[in-house]
Amino acid sequence: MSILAKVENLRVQYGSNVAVNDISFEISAGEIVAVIGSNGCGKTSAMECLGGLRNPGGGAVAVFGKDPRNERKEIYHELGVQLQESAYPEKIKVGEICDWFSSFYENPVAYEKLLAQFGLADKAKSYVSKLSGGQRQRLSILLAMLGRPKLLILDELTTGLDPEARRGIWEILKVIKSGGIGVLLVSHYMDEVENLADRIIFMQSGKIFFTGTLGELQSFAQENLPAEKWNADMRLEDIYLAFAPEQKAIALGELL
Amino acid sequence: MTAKSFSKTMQMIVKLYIRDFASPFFSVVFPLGAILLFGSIYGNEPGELFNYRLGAMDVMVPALVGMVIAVNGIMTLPLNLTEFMTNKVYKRFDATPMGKENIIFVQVFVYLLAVLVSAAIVIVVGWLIYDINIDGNWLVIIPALLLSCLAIFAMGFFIAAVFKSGKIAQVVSYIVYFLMIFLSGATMPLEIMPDNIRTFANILPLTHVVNLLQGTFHGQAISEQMTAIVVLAGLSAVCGSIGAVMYNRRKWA
Repeated sequence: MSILAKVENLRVQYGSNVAVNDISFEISAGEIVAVIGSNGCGKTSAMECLGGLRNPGGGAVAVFGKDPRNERKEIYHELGVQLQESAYPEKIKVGEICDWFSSFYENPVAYEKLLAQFGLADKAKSYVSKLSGGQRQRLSILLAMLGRPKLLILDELTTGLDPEARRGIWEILKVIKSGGIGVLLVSHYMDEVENLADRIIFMQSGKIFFTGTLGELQSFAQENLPAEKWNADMRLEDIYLAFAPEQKAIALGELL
Repeated sequence: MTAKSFSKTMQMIVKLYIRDFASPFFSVVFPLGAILLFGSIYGNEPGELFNYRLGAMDVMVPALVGMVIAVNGIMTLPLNLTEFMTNKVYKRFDATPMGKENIIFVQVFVYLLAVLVSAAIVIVVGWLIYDINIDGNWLVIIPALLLSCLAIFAMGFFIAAVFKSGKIAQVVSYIVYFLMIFLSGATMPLEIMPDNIRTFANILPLTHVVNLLQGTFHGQAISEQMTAIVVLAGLSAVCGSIGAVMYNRRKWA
């Protein structure tokens, strides 16, 4: 499998806060790599560096062998991104934004076909602001797919969606993967990661705590968790929580 | 940016401009209403107010062209830039081969085009209904119009770039806009205002736009327009450079 993106010793710092601390990973064609970790552990900062939307404080990032910061417009001919924090102009219709984004690419996919595949054909004349959460997320993936990308970065794709909408998006991702596209998926949903990811990058406090397949993570957990915390039936969410830093429980009595 | 992406982006920014009711209303409907209202009250016969040399509409039409520049430069431009910036719309465009700089370029281009189209409508209507006098040379009037646009657009960009909060930038642009359109002679002739307001009006950039446009429309010598030209050129340089520095610092990401 050819390597699409490579991150080496990446570091991102905001003032004195080190958000991403010396991380390295690769993404290859036709694989889904999921990045998991608690809020603020540096996932989005790392994704934004990969997409050329943020300056790394150190290390090297290459997408299709190019520096995303200096050759951002070039890499986006083959890179599709769905950002956690982004919006569209308020008074724009679904068909219009698809048509507009299509004009940015040399050989875009016919957006009418994608609208049908993503179940949005009847929404082409609706304002984007009137779409439901699930429809907006499907539109986000569709827009990221317009330029026939080789690599997709999807940041918290299904956050806020109902189970049915999430399952619908999983099916779309499986089809995308089968087409040989590499996907970097940031998610807080462990069932999603179990279902979709070929490899998992587990981040804690800006560092990569573990990287490997789900099976490798289970073996890692067996070897590294204290015996009282380990059992053979542990799902990814159980392992995630077992390794997560202890959360201070709120004493209900203090609130009542 | 390819010809295809430029043309499609232009179409979309024009659509968004038209759907944003306030911009086309204040840019076309309001000045036309003002022409018809003031014209029906004062007509365009030269009177005492303008030394029996010019009619009220001869003076009002170039002033309303100044208002059109202010609508697009001080209201539409910063409001749309800050909306796209605070809602992270620019960030989404940065994640495409287009990039936000090209979107901003097309936005400025469309708003400038809106000024030229609206100004043409205002002038043609003034000429058709009230037979306004335009004694000046168009080779002087057009550069004066473009310098006015440059200065007022630079001011709008400055407001969008300097204030960190989009909401504050929007409030500032509304205050500056309404202060200027009512106190600069753009909607009501300064000649009918009290002396203290006329003194205050001299610090408003739009007053210099109105003076420059009225002067060039009526064929005054360039030497008589030097104050307005220097003020507007200075404003363009200062607001444009500070705005560019602040934009580069924040990147609007």
